[in-house]
Amino acid sequence: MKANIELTEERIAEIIEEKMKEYVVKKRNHAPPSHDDHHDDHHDDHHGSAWGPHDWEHGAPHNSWAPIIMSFGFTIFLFGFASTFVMNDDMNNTVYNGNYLSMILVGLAVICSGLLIWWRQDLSFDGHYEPKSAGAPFQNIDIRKVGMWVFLMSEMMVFSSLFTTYIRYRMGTESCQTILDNHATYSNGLPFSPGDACWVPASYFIAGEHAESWTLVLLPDTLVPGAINTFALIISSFTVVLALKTAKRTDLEPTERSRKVRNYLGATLVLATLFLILKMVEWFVGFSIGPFYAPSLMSDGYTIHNELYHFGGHGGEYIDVNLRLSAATFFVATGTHGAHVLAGIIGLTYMTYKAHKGSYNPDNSVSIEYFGLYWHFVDLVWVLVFPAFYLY
Amino acid sequence: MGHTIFGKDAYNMNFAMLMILTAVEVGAVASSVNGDISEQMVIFILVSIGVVKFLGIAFIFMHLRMEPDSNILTLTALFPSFFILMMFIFIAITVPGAPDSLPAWCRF
Repeated sequence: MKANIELTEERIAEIIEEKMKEYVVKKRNHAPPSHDDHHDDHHDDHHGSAWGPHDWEHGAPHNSWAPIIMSFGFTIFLFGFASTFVMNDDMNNTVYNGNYLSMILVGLAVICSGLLIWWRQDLSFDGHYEPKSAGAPFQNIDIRKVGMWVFLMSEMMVFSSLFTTYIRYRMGTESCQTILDNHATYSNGLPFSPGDACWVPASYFIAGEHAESWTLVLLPDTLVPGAINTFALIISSFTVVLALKTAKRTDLEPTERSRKVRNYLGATLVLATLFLILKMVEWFVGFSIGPFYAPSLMSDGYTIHNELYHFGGHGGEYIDVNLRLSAATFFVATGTHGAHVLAGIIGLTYMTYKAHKGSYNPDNSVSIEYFGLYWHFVDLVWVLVFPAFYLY
Repeated sequence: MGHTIFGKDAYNMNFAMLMILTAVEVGAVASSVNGDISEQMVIFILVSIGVVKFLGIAFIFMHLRMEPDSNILTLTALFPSFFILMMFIFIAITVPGAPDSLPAWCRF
């Protein structure tokens, strides 16, 4: 009984503290800036350094060199990377050019220094102060939320360019099946020469007639990893939603709430990891488990270097086709998506640890919401990638 | 966070819908491979379901509906549409060989 009373007193003290913080935040966000505030923000030593930790008690920071430094770093890194791994004269293999390796290292160093500055400036942020956007048209919307959406806009452009490339090449390149059906002749009547480029979609290897084993009768075994991945991503989107809902719940004890949030984020992490593992299995490893058998795309010959793939053969007739165009669009699009999943895994690892330490509560759960936006976007892209590249 | 669809939690409903539609997608392709439905029908099913799933995730999971700031954030999300449309019209659905007629400075 005594323990209950002590617990209640603790809870009351915690509620009072939370309410006081909430009051301070509300007052800070809604009160018009006084002359003193203005003075504080712009003229005296409360103003955070563009290089170091910011004093969050006196408003949102609006000065940082981190983004500019990181942009330069990425420019140097990508230029060096593209110059280090170049195509040979025959354009059929990658050649290593060590002259630009130092540029890659310099680029990575500059990126890391930008990250270090960013980390130092954000280190002082306790999660209880959510700065609001002041400029049109985003007035009074959380500034980090606006930032996340602007980031997602740029991501939409990246994936749209990949889809545009895919559609362009898919529509502009004649199907190998059509050429084979026409007895090695293009639809315009010209003869097909071995090594000519035509289109063999990835779905031919994953969900098409090429698939050998059909253990589940309705689905070829090669489609199983992709199908599991699709469900895994959808479930992981839902577990992020549940993590956010749970973090906002005020009817749970803090320890119970933290445990549940950690479990939901942990489940998301497990599903994301499963996604990448199955992706690697599908690309490089393949599997043979009991009656299930699926060769990897690589062992099937679906690679960006394959210029003489033996296509057909069911009726004895075949053509040797160049797969590079089709394979390159597939691996770049799905690989870019996989890289985003990997970035999500890194973020989720940190967030699961943070949840384990009990850092998420109803006042401080926006990080889960903003990460959730990113994660739902990754799911959204897969919703388009899966049918476009795996099924069609 | 307490939004509902047909009296049920919106997130749960959306999750159930996404799972069912994905199963339909996979089933449609399986039927196509088995020769039960035509390729055109499969494309129609995949595009239709893709659009519905896309909207379900964007509107409900990403809060582009039902929140006070949903409208402006939806407009923000739609902002790249113009550029995406340009890419689709002038690149994705151009005729084969169209880039060959571009001036040299446009090409590698």
